[in-house]
Amino acid sequence: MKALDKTVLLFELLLGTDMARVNEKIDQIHFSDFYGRVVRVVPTLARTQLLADVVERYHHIDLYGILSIQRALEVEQELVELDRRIRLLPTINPYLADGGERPYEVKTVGQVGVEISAQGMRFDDFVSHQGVLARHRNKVVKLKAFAWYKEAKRGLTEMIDDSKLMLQKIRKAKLTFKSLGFQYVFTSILVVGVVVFLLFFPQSEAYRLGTLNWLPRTIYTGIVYGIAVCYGFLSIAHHHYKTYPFRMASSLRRNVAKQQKLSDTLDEISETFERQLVQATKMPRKITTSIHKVAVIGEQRRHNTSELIDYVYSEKEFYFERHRAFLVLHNIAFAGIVLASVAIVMAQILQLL
Amino acid sequence: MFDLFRLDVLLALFVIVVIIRSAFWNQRRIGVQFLTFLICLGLVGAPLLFNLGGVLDLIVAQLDAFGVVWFWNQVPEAYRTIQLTPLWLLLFTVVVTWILYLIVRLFALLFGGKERRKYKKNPHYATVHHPLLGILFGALRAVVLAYLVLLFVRFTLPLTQLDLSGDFVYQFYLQIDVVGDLISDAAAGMPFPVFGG
Repeated sequence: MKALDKTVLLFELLLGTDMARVNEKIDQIHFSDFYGRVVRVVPTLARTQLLADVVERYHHIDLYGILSIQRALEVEQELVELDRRIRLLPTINPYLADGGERPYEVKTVGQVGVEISAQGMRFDDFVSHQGVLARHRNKVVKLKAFAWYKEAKRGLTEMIDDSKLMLQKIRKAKLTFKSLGFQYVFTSILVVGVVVFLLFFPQSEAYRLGTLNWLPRTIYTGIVYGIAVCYGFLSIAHHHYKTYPFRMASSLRRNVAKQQKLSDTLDEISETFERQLVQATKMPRKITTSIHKVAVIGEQRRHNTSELIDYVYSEKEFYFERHRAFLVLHNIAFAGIVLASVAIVMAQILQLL
Repeated sequence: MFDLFRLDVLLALFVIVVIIRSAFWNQRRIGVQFLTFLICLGLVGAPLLFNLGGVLDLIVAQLDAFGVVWFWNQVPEAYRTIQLTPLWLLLFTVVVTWILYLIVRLFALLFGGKERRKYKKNPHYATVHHPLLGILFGALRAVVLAYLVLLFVRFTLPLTQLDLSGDFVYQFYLQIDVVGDLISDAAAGMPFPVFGG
């Protein structure tokens, strides 16, 4: 709890605009112990309220009071945890241009702080016991940038490895749609049979000569068109299922290519990264952009992976569930062709037409 | 009944299906296979249609030796008319083309390791799905296949008594069809007694 005694709360909105006021506020906040702060919470104010309103209406109130009791308890726990984790930071020192390592001294650089913004609270670690000092802030920002960079690189490498593994699994996957394949072959034979019957068999000579009455004539035409449409749909559906792994693997390959490109970019950045860290007072823009891209790709990957897992691991049920509407149409088309074929045969047998 | 029958509609459906299928499944390998089939069609069709080196005569002369004539004579006489000879010639061409195509594919499987090496070197080689290219290529494929279908329809007409005078596509096809005329000429020049039974 010693470290937390010197924790201060910062208003991001005020930071940099009215430093005197911020310092004044910081000076006003003094907590003797851990539980004392919780007691001073004002629970009536929703923490989702806009920060500007809070500042305007409660400027005389201790800033800490905008938290609910429950949230304050959580905050305290998180502060403890964050403080513990900061002490366990990796020993890589990002300040050395030669890439050397030196243990990172948490004590002198900064301790745990809390940023409050319009979106809510978020923890940061660029606060020292003397308030916000530019050199401390810069150091921590650099450290954070370096950690993000490392994490992004590691994440990308993992993604690429995972994608390659999934591609291998797709190639080895034995999942086939046997029943659908059977339907397609069966209907193909039926359609050929119906066409041959209509075009060549003596029983359908009246049909060919056009001497039938209008009703059977219309029925036969309807059957022909119906079979054509149903068979067209079945053909597309069958091809859709058959080529699904190809399209899935293709999309995965695209992602791998994208990830590889991003990884190369990060590699390129890393060459000058150490130098940039030393020179820059802010986090390099390229890094933030890259990290954002990593996040976006990660999101896509999560979506793709779920689909891949359905296909590779979870067998047909999940896949069928995904394409339920399509499958229903498929079966309707199949039933349509079978019924039409049966109708023609029955009509001939019963001499209805 | 046939006054309700529109070949245009069925052909349009056929073309749409072929294009959509192609959009699902498009890569360089598929394109190469289709081109192979077209080349095989040319390799088989041209000697037959133009009777190059007397190939057609030679084939017909050898039919008896292989017992084909006996089988042919078992077919009902109604289907062995002069009018239908181009149809059988067309079917024969397509079947032989398929056999040649399969042989070429088998040879490609035996000796064609090149594609696989490229794939190994670059996993993205020729395996990326391009729906738009698939649609364009599917249009080409659809045109070729529709032409074959129209050829089939043209030579099947004597059997079916279809009235296609109102069909826009079929009438347009008749005006531009060169291959069909060649097939008819080649069939007319054949020693008919053998085929006619």
